[in-house]
Amino acid sequence: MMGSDKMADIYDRNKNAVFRMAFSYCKNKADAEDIMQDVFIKLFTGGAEFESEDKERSWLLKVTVNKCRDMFRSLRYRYSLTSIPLDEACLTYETPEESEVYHAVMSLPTKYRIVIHLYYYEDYSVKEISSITGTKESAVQTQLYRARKKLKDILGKELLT
Amino acid sequence: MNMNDYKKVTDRLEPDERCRKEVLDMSKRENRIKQNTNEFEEKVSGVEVRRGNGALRFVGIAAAFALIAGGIGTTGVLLHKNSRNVSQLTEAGEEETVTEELTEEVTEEATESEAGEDYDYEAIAIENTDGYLERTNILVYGDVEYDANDTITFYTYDSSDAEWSEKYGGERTFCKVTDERFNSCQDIYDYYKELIADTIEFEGYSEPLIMASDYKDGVTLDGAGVVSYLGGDASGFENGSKVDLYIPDPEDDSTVDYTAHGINGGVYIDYNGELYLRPHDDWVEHYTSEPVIVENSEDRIVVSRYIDYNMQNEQYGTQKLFTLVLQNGEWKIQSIGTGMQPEYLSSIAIQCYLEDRAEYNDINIDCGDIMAPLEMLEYDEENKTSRVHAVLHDVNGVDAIDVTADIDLNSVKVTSADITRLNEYDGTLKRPSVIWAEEHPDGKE
Repeated sequence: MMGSDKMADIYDRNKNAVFRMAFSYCKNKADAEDIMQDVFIKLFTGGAEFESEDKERSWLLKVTVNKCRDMFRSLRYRYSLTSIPLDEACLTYETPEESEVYHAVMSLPTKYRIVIHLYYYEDYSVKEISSITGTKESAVQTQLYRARKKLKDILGKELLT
Repeated sequence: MNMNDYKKVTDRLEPDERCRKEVLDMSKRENRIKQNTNEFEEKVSGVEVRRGNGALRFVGIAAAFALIAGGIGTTGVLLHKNSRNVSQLTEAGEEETVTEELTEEVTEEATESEAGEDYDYEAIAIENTDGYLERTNILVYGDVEYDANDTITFYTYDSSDAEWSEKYGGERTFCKVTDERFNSCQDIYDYYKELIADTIEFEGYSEPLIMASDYKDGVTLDGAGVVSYLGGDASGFENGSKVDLYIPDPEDDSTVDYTAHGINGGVYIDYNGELYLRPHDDWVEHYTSEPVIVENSEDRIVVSRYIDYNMQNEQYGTQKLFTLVLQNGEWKIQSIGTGMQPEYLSSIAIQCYLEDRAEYNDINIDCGDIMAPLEMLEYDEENKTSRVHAVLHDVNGVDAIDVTADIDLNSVKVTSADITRLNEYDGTLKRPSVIWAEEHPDGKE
């Protein structure tokens, strides 16, 4: 059974990555925090062990994506009428460009947002994203291509990386 | 303009610090219960452990988080009740508990205002909090007059999910609203907004939100979208018809037929120019105290008032802190925070206290099982302490212990406890939990 210190270390090491992944999916802080907590509790009570911190993080992000999908499949989302807007209250922009780009990314359909976040923010390869999202590599490539194209349409120009 | 702009904004996003404590506390607690249960299952044969479905588990955990740190209530949802009989020793060491009458009430002292000559703060506090509750009960619980004989009915289903259709779909009957104040969903939202400030704030959020003018983009002070309650114009569906809720792509909002979902889950819908209501049970929220002004200045008042929305007939319930602001010469509600929850926090404290003591492993300590019989003997709001009494059951539902406890509500800990066993401890009755025993419903993780 995992000790308190180890749990705290793992939490502190990964909380932001898990929360930001969940926020990218849910677009609101409350749900992202709920999912983040659920993910860590699953790890801490399930007894999973990892050979490296990289494996630990990719497992956490994989579970996060699955939890997000579960939430969107759940009765609360499927059969309530709550259309979740972007939770602006917890976001800060220092330049108009930051706001413009962030809103453009968050306006993408969920599946595109996820690959954009994992590819550009978490620096995962297509192969790793395929493993995390459970999507074929070719599909990830296609989603990345379409996401970039949509961003270009929204912003009126190609985004530099 | 490049992807670094996305990264920079994302880099500033962080979860609240309280999450850390909640995650670590709950994990430790789950592990302790898990350890107990593993031992229990090794020792006791023939115990059937129920495995709940994924959706229930999620709902349980989410609800627990929504309540407070710890979320121990999750375990109770899935607790297995051992069916074997045990002998009950009702005479064993039973003690009489002296119950002190509750003498302290949340009393209000006349609040001297620095600019008090202009406003009657007490009257403002009453008007706004009473008005808010009335409007919430109308919006959320459909507390309006209606004609039960003038109805329209639809039958909801999901063409892609027979199980859901069987369990949760089916008849949705709406009654015509006869309350002359309301002729449309927009009217309901406009009425709700009357006492709400143009910009509203949520707990834990740094920036205020602008109150939407249209119910379709609406928000409420509890943070939920009002479209959940207001389904909009369903005239496109024939009365008596079947309504398919199928969502081709759950990850793409554009594939959702919001009108169909309005029929399925909404409290109100518009239909051929009339307003209809799907009646609930007689279920409305109510206050358990009068308003108390805790802060006031020329343009801001904070009002405390306790509300019972758990529908458990609590003596206090949950303290709500209404922040009222002056807007164009009128006082409006800008935010509603949550303060003390004397019964709930006392229950959590007792739960943790009992959980750590092996001699009470047979006691049902689900939060709801403690809250239901809980009597609040004393509650000191200023010092945040309580004295409570409850008779708790063992896992067979038999009266097992009589508890009187003093609680520090700040730290959510029992400071002293007088516990009398009403039956003999049966070591075979350790409470099990099954949360960790579950597998992901899709077998993914």
